[in-house]
Order: sequence, then C-alpha cells, then structure tokens
Amino acid sequence: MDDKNFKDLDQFFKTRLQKKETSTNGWDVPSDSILENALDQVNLSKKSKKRKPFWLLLLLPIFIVFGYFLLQNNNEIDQLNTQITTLLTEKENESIITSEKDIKLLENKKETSPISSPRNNIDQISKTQSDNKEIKVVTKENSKSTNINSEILNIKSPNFSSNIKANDYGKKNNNINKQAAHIEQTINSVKDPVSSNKTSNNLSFITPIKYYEGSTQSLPPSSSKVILPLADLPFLDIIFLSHESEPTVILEDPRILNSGQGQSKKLSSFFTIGHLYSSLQMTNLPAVDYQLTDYDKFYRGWEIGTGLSYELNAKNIIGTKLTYSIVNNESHFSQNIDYLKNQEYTNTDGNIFYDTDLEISSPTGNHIEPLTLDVTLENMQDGESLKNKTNLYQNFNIISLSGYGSHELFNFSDISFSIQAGIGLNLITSTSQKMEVSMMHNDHEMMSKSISNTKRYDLQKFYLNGQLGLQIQKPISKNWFIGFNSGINRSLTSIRKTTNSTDPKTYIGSFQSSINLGFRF
Amino acid sequence: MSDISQVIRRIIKGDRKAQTMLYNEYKSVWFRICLRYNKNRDDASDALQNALINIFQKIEQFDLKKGNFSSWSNRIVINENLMLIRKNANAFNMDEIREDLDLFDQNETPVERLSAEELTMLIQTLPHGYRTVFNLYVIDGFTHPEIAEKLNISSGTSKSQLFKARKLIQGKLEVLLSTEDYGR
Repeated sequence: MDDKNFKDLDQFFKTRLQKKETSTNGWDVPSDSILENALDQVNLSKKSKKRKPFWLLLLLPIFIVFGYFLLQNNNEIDQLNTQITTLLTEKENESIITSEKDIKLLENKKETSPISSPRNNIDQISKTQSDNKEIKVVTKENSKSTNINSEILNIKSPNFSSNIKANDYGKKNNNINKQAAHIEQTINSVKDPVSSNKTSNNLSFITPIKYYEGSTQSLPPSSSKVILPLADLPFLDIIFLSHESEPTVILEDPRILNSGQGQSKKLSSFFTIGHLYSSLQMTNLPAVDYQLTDYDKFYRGWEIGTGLSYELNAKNIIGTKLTYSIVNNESHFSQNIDYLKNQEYTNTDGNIFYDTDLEISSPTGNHIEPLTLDVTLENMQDGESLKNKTNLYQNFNIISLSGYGSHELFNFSDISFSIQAGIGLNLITSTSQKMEVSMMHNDHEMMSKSISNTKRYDLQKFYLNGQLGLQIQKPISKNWFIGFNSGINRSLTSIRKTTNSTDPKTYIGSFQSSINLGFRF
Repeated sequence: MSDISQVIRRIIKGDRKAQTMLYNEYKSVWFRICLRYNKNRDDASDALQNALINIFQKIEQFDLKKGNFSSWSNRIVINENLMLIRKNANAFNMDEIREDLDLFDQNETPVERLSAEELTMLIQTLPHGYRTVFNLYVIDGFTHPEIAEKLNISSGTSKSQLFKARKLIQGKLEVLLSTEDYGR
C-alpha cells in the first residue's frame, strides 16, 4: 500500500485526466436535454420555495392575545350573569343580612352558590359583633386563583369598625362587575357621596368608597339590604351586608387609590418619546464582485408619538398610536476595479483620464455613479486594480400609524408588566442620502468626492411594520401614569420596490425603548 | 465566456441565456468527472443533471472572493456523484475484483497515447468502490481521512480500496503493454 510504488501511475492519470483538452469525438459532451431537465427542475423548485409570509407569524401573538381575552371575557360575563341573577333572587328571599347589628356573613354557599363558586371563592365570612365589628372574609383554599396575598382593610364607622381580611389580592374582577349593569349603576351612583345620599338605590353605599382617599361614605338606612360588589375591589368578590347605622369605610391602600382600578376610566391618551437603534437589513443579496460591508449595523434614531388606548378589561388593552421617527443608516463598500488601459483618453492639455462606472447595490437601491479619474501621474497598467471605498449615509423620516394589543403578564406592587404586539403602516416621508467615494491606487488616494442626495431609485412609499415588546407601567396619580416600553420593530414588507424575485430586499429593523406619559380619562 | 461574475449575477436574476452559457462552458469538465465516477454514460448523465440542479440552486451562495468557480462547481459535481454512490447499497462491502473485465480490445492504443477518454473508460471498468476511492484520491486530491468521512468508511478501508484499485489498473495496463499491437 505504499504510495511511492504508484507515484508514476497516479501522476500519469492525474495529468491526463485533469488536462483540459478538446475532444474530437464528443465523448465528453453530455446531452443538451440534461440542461433542459435541470432548468425545469430548478424553476419548479423556485416556485415551490416561494417566500413564506413570515409576517403572518408576527401577527400570531396578536391573535393569541386577543383571542385569549375575548374568550375569557365571554366566559366571565356568562358566569357573572348567572351569578347575579341567582344571587339577587336568593338574597331577596332569604334576607341573609338583616340589620346593622347583625351583619350576616355569607358562608359556604356550597359549590352551587355563586358566592362560593370558584369564581367568587369566598368560603366564609365571619363577624364579631361588638362595638368594633370585625368582618372576616376567607377565601377558599382551593380557589382558582393561586396568586394569594392577604390584605387587611379597615372598615370604620361611627358605630363600628371592621377588618376585612381578604386574600386573592390582585384578582381584578372589574370587568365582571362592570358588565353587570345594575351594579355598575350602583357604583356610579355612589361615587358622589352627595348624590349617593339622594339615591334610592340601597345598594349604593360602599363600593366606590375605595376610590377616595380617607373619604367617608354614608351607609343606607337600617334594614336595607346592600350588595357590596367586592369584586370591584381587586381582592374581593361579592358580599351582602345590611346596616342600620352609617358606618364609614376608609381604605388606605395606596395601590387602589392610585391605580384607579375599577373606575370606568377605560380610555387613555399618551405621549411617547423614544430612542431607537435601527438598521437597514438586506436580504436576497446578489453574489456581487465587491464587498458590501457594515450595511446592516444598527445606528441611532429617535421617535416621538402619541396615541390612545382602551382598556378592554383589567389585563388587556388595545390602542393605536401615531409616531414620527428618524432612522439613520450607514453602508460601507469596497471593491476592486480592473483598470482597462484601452479606456484611457487624453485631453487637449495632455492629461490622461479614465472613465469608470461605480455600481453599488445599497439598501435603498442600486446606484451607478459615473466617475472620471485623472490618471496622468499614476502610470496605470492594464489589469491593475483600482480600489474603491464608498460610504453611504442615509436618513429616513417615517410616519407610522399602528394598532396594538397589550396583555398584562403580572404586576408587582402597583407596577404592571405587559407584553405588547402591534402592526402598522409606515410612510417614508423624506429621505436624504450622501455618498462619499474615494478611489485608491497602491494606497494613494487618486480621487475623493462627496455626492449629496444621490438618487434613490426604488424605494416604496408605504410599507407594513410589525412590533413586539414589553411595557412597564406605573400610576403616578389618580389619572396620570408613566410607562416604559422596549421592543423590536421590523418592516414586514421590503422598503425597496423589487422588479423580480431575485432583486435585493431591504427591511428596516430596530430595537426601541421609549417612555410614555399617559392620562386616563 | 465573458466575466464569470457577470454571468453568475445574470443567472441569479434568472437569465436563462446565462445559464446556458455557463453550462456550455463547463459541461465537458463536469461530464468527465461524472464519467469517471460512474460505470456508464447514462449514470453519468443522471449525476450531471442532479449536479447541475445543485449548482444553479446554490450559485447565490458562491463567493467569488473565496474561491474560483471551477473548483467550487467541481466539488458540487463530485459530491453529487458520491451521493449517488452512497445510494448504491453495499458499494464498499464487495471485494469484487472483476478480473473478467477486459479493458481494451485488440485495437487498444499504447499507454503513452491513451487519451483522457480511454483512461476514463479504464477507470469505469473498476468496481464501484475502487473506482470511487481511486477518483477521489488520485484525480481529485482528497486524503484518506477525507474520503473516509465522505464515504462513511474507515480510513483503512479507503487505503485498501485504493491499493486494490491501483493494482488492478496496473495489471490492466501491463496486459495492454504486452499486447502485440502495443507500439503500433
């Protein structure tokens, strides 16, 4: 197996078979049908490999989020309607709580009771009758909610004070409550203590109190039956009370005071200012004979915007926003150009010039820049390389109108963390472009020039855009809130007009961060 | 042919004329490779067609800065042939030295005057495994570890197959040289 023994044989075969020679009898000429068959298959394959509408995938999170809360809403509304109907009927007949001194507690209404159902998860309400009355609400151990934090709220009145021990903090049933028109009416009627006193609705004494820091609220006359829609408190569901006197309820929890939860403040407006790192990313690049470098790096930009959002429920928000952003981009190119001596020409002064076209496939289109070089002193030889370096600077001003959905993932204290997804239509309102070209020969700069507002042949005016991000939001007063957004943004359609499928395509991608200041109406 | 980079660019844009131009330029080189790796012309044609599809589909990935098109495309052709060989089960389990194969008829030419066509025919008469290893090692310059990896065999098997291939070819050539027509 010694290679040396076969060195001559190997060399002989290698030399003869690698030698490019023209056959006389056509033994090495394949049939033309091979090309035809191959091309047919290539074209067939290209058709089947049509670009997947990947942007549909970006829409998926939006559909999932919306689908989720629509489903959830429907279920909750159905449950609520059933519960309210049953509840009101039962309580009318049973008079669970009959007097202020005898605050009846709702306890273990079994699985069939809407109160003790997993939805309401109130197992037991106990009361200590004394001068200082104490109400305890204990939720079911195996309630649906797993995020349990105990809270003590003080309920005080001239005649009694009560502690409501509640758990299931954070369970926001505002939406449910708001769906029940009669309860909502109750809530609204009691927001104003004065009007509350005037109202004949005997359910109206307590629910809204939580919205007023340190405020007091009169209870209705004795023997009246009161529905306290504790569901409207973020930590309780429904309790029935009846009082003869007029206790005062004071809720000191700043989260409730600040967050405005449960209020009918569904519509908000906001103003946003942001910072972004954007990039013009090219795909479908041709196999070019020059180097396209750094065309897809990220560069700083800015964004301002305003919008409206609408709370569908405590966790889900939809909104629309209008933004104006400035996107910057740089592309850097280098290429070697073979010098063709026969294209030299001499002018009347005896100077030698050379004409060449600089062709650049940039993110914003193909650019052909004719150049004339003075090569009088260069003594250029045929086939020598001229090195070109080109820097392209581009600015885009873009107006974007987009819709988005937001879903709260969790909250910490009064700070909520949400995921956001959106889609929008972007309009490129203006662009500016500058090209710096230099030509080198043996590290000697032969020519350098700056060309402003070079032509952009094939930019789209409108293009689709998708966003995905996270939002942190915190109430700063009863109506105002601040937020911080971060996310990714990418055009879903190319910003370049393409004449056929093999043309390069350019997408604007960015990482954004912004702060929002909002106002709840 | 005009500048290869221009042709490639046109092919990427779907220019059929450029595809034909490229094919006409390289078809003989590619087909010779296929003929070396296959026993007959039909198999070689199938291999070339598959290789051609691959070349056109992958041409966008070709980087002119990193290599020349000829060696890039030759690799694709070789790989396509190897793929077909791998499909051919037990190609390397045999020790079938088909001594009954006659390389040349009574009118064979002397070895010095053997043409590429005739050498190709000689290689074609080798058993499958021998032929493949001989082509990869001797003509196309792969090492035994590379061959072992490509063919999913051990390096020892590659060396063994090569040795046997060489011996067989050498024997055939000796027979050829001893014929009465030698040196005519």
